[in-house]
Amino acid sequence: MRYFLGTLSDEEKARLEESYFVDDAEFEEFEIEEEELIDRYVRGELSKEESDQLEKTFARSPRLIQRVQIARVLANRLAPEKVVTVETPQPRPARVSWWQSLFGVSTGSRAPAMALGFSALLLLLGGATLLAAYLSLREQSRQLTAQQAELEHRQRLLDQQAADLKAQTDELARRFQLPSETPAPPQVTPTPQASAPVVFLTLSAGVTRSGDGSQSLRLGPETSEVQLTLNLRDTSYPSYRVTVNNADRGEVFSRDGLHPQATRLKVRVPAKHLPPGDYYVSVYGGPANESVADYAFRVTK
Amino acid sequence: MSSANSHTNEVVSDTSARGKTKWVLTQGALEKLLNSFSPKRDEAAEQYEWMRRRLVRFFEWRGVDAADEHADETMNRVARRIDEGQTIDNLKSYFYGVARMVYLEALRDREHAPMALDEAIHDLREVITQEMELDPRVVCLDRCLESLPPQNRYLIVNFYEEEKRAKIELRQELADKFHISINALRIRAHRIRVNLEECITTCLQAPAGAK
Repeated sequence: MRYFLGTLSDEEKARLEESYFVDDAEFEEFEIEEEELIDRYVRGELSKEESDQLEKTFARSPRLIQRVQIARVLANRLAPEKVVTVETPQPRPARVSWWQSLFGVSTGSRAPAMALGFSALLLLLGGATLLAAYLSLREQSRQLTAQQAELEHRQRLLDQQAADLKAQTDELARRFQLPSETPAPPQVTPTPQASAPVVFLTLSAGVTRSGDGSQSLRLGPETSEVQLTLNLRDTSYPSYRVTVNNADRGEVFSRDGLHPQATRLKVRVPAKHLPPGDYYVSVYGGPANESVADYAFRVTK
Repeated sequence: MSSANSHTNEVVSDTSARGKTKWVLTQGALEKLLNSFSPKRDEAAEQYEWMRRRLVRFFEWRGVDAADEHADETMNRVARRIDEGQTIDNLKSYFYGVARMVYLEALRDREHAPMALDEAIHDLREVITQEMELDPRVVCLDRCLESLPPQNRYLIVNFYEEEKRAKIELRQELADKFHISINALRIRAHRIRVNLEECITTCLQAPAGAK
């Protein structure tokens, strides 16, 4: 934050800049800090000096002005109760307490003021009831959105698995002259033919590493490669790194710079790296190298 | 990649503000620049974009006007060195060094033609305090939120929803729900927000009937 407010020394400034120039993760962190500072600015959470300093920078950049405007809209839409923008001087009314303004104690006739006061009180009570109902509905709506998102996600995974299985069945049928119309059972990844030079395995995240829940893969002497198709839950990263590890947590294979096709990541692993045993596959999203998902499988002979 | 190419076209058609012959970025020089980022075309284009973003931020937060133009000028200078056959060991560091040079030159230019900053700040405050109902970004935000995948929409709405303590608790709940750390949640929310902001910018540029 001190960088953005211009309070770093030249040396500190240069050090920070050089680090975000050479390191992608540092740069992303820099952008997040910028975003959080703009959010604090539009919510009025900064001191006047800090806001004034920021405005000098904002005023020079159309991009930053645009970001400020969007941040204001976002804050207003998603957390409307606290949005405070830049203070604009306005004439101050004479100081009157809420009680005085409600019941008109200090001005004019008392009876109409009392009637007005009780009406206002009734309105307040009604408003409070409505607010409580609104909050309850909002919570329910949030829960429903979460459930819907989860269901849609599951549906997408199932669709992908079905499509993968169909493709694998067709491929195997083509190789071994089998009828390609053989229906593939849903949600079951077949153990590939041991004699195929390339065997295919589709994995979904969340399968246990214990062995019992793992999908099995049978490799024969002719098998040269295993093609892993990994169903991704998150495809927002620009590229991915995949590592295959054995049960002793030893890395037996890795590949980076991978890009998903739709929501699937495909990687070919030489069979020589996969002696019988349990394996787990880890997927990391670049450039921050964040852990995205883990998968497990077992190799048998 | 499209941005990298449009940059070439813009610079080729550019004429020098100072009246002397200016080096222009040719397609060949751009190819060499991209190649120095990565021999893979997609990766190179991606890294080009990231570098340009860094340069724009650098000039903006150093308080230089027309940050985009200075970012392009920096790109051109590096492209020129590469085109002339200079070997660069650490390209990203080299970019930073060139950006600092361009910055110092921009400071000198600013002394000769200072910007009316008070007026600009006044305009900024006016824009920021305008009635929210009049802001077309509100309509665009709603539209862009709708176009997000449900999971991303759920994450971004909840990420910004509550305030202070409630916000901290809600973010922890959210991180738990997605099986990620709070920091990973911050990064993910940031990426969704970047997309959302791009969507809003595109929406604002669309004809009124299309919004």
